Amino acid sequence: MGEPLTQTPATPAAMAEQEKETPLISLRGITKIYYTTKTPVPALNGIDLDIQPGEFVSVMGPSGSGKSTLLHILGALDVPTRGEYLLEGVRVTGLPDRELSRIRNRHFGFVFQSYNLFPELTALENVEVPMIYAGVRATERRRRAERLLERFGLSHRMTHRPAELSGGEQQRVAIARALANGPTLLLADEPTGNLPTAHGEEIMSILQELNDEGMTLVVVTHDWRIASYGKRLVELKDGQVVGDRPIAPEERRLRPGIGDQLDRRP
Amino acid sequence: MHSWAVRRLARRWWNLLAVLQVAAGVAAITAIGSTVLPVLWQGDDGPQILTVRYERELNEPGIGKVISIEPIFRYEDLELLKSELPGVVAAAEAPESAYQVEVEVEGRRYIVQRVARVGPDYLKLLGVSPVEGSFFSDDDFRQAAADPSGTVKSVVISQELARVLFGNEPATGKTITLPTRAGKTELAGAASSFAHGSVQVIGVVEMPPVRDRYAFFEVYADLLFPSPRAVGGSGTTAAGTGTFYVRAKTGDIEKVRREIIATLTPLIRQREAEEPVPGGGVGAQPLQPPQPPRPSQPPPGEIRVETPQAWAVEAATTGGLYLGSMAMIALIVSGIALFTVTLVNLAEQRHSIGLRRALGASRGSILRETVGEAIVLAGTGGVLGVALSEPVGRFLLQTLLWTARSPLASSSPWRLSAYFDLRAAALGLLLALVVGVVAVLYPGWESSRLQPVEAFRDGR
Ligand SMILES: Nc1ncnc2c1ncn2[C@@H]1O[C@H](COP(=O)(O)OP(=O)(O)OP(=O)(O)O)[C@@H](O)[C@H]1O
Ligand SMILES: [Mg+2]
Repeated sequence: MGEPLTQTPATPAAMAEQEKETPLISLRGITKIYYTTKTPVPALNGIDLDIQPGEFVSVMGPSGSGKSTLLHILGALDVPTRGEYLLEGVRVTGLPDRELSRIRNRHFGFVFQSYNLFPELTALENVEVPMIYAGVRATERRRRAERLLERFGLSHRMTHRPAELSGGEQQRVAIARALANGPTLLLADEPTGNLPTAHGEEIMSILQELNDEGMTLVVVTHDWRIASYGKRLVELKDGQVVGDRPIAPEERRLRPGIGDQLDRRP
Repeated sequence: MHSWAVRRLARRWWNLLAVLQVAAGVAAITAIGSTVLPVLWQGDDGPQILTVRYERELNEPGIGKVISIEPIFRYEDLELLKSELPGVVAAAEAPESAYQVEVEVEGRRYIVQRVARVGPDYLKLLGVSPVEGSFFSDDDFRQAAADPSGTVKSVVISQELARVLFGNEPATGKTITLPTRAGKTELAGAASSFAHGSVQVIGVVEMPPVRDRYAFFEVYADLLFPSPRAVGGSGTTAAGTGTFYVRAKTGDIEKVRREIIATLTPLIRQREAEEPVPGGGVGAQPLQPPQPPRPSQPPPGEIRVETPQAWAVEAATTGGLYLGSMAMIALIVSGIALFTVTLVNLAEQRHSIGLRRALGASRGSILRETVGEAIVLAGTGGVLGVALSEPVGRFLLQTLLWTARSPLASSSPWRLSAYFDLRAAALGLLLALVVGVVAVLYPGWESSRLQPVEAFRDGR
């Protein structure tokens, strides 16, 4: 449902031009300083980053390096202290709340470590929530939610509450919910962090499949085996980008089984 | 407002506390409003009754100004009004009454709320007539006058009392016993001079509807005896009370009021002049030189003619303000509960609200949801309170009457259900919603300020 934020270019040529030149996301000098404690905490320090449509970006870095903070800013969940954020060429920083909410609702899907489902709602209803805020009619909502859950093999779990679902199932519901409004970008923070290996692998192959279909993905992790599902690796340290390179297909082949518990958490 | 929000509320038991508190407040408002508001809103539909009273402002040493109501009217005054003023239908003094009198019928005992000795004009004053048997005849009144100590063996009763004592059987001809056991049921003064022993019902009267009873506050009774003092028109002794009642013809009650004052004032002035000077033997003698007025000489009094409605409205206003403000306090306390509960919900829902924000809810929609939840709580409490006000009110009333051993306690509950007024219920509900909205202003504002990242704080 992500309607383009930009004006439609007049000619096909201009359109092609724009497609090439306008990244999906463009960060310039993004700085985030938390003032919640007595001493200000700089979490991000002048991040420059472009993400093209269809990319699968893995963000890695030690704990406290600012990965989650970056993801929150990318998802318009938080505002940067300084810097500029362009989404499809349109300035996001400084937009009024209504606009930001609309962008979160239509353009972004979120998948988080602890699933973040509404405990009082069924799987089906959880998937419907973003569509409520998008103003989708009830019957259409129900239909779309059912389709998404079917796609992730949850047909028999639709009326279950989160507490009655396994972690893997909950995360699949969360992915279904993230896709509810057909977002342009899927953002995941440690999506497998709470899951046993087999389920983690399942989640990653779902994400990979989505990327194969053209979905742009940003996945934050400090686990190389998760990161290696991606096509590009962005490394953070002390709130700065210290590495940005493509992940070669052979690196992916080399990745050990996710099941290796020993060094999952450095 | 989505039904999911209701589910969210139902998960938190403390919401029920707020709902119950609002219900209690609204029940109180509705119950009190139901008894007070109909009186205030009645307008001119009430019975055309006037009270006539003689008032004097005295300056009591050591106390200050005191309003004294003095017995200055005579029976001939009532007759005068009836014959001179075409607007006056009936005039009668307030009957001599006794309260909570015990009676016995076929071995069973009852308490009658009010027993009274009434004059010939009584039914005309109330604007009612017997539904069974007859009212007292002139003979009855003459007999009562001949033997004031109470040998009269005829009584007239209200239809309500008849129903309680005799069910659906005709009451006329039935016997009621007024026991004479000393100390137990005999009440002071007037009551002891009422007839004792067995009396016979000669008639049944349907009394004015409950709604109008306020107008007959001092007049209404369930068990009637003929008054020994009211021998038609010939009495010249001072009436026992400073107040009497007049029923006016439908129409210009204000004109009747003015006429009564105009007719009675000269008579009153004359009587004031003939009054014995306080502390000094005989009153002003025309031939003696005028005495200098002493400081204790009472000033001239004033005739006050009012509709009991005005009195009832005043009583309802004072009572309503007093009880109503207590009910308002209950409602305000429920507002505080609602405020607290909403804040607790908010604290509990920081994560959930952040999540909704992340999924696309704007500040506005979070505000609407929070306000909506409070309105659901307040509204549920309001509806519950309105629904409870009537049965609870009726139960309390029944209990009160039962404790007082009133015959009304066992009468049909429909009779008592008069104390429910839709407008009062609407008012209660409206106030509940207002309280709900006011209570949620701050929590709502706070909730809408929560940022989406809230969902992902604390390692969630
Ligand atoms: N709300 C906050 N208030 C103050 N400081 C914060 C806040 N959130 C994060 N920080 C600080 O900002 C820095 C970056 O945090 P962030 O959560 O982005 O790191 P991370 O790379 O996601 O770490 P991890 O791998 O442990 O999740 C850390 O030093 C953290 O302590
Ligand atoms: Mg993190």
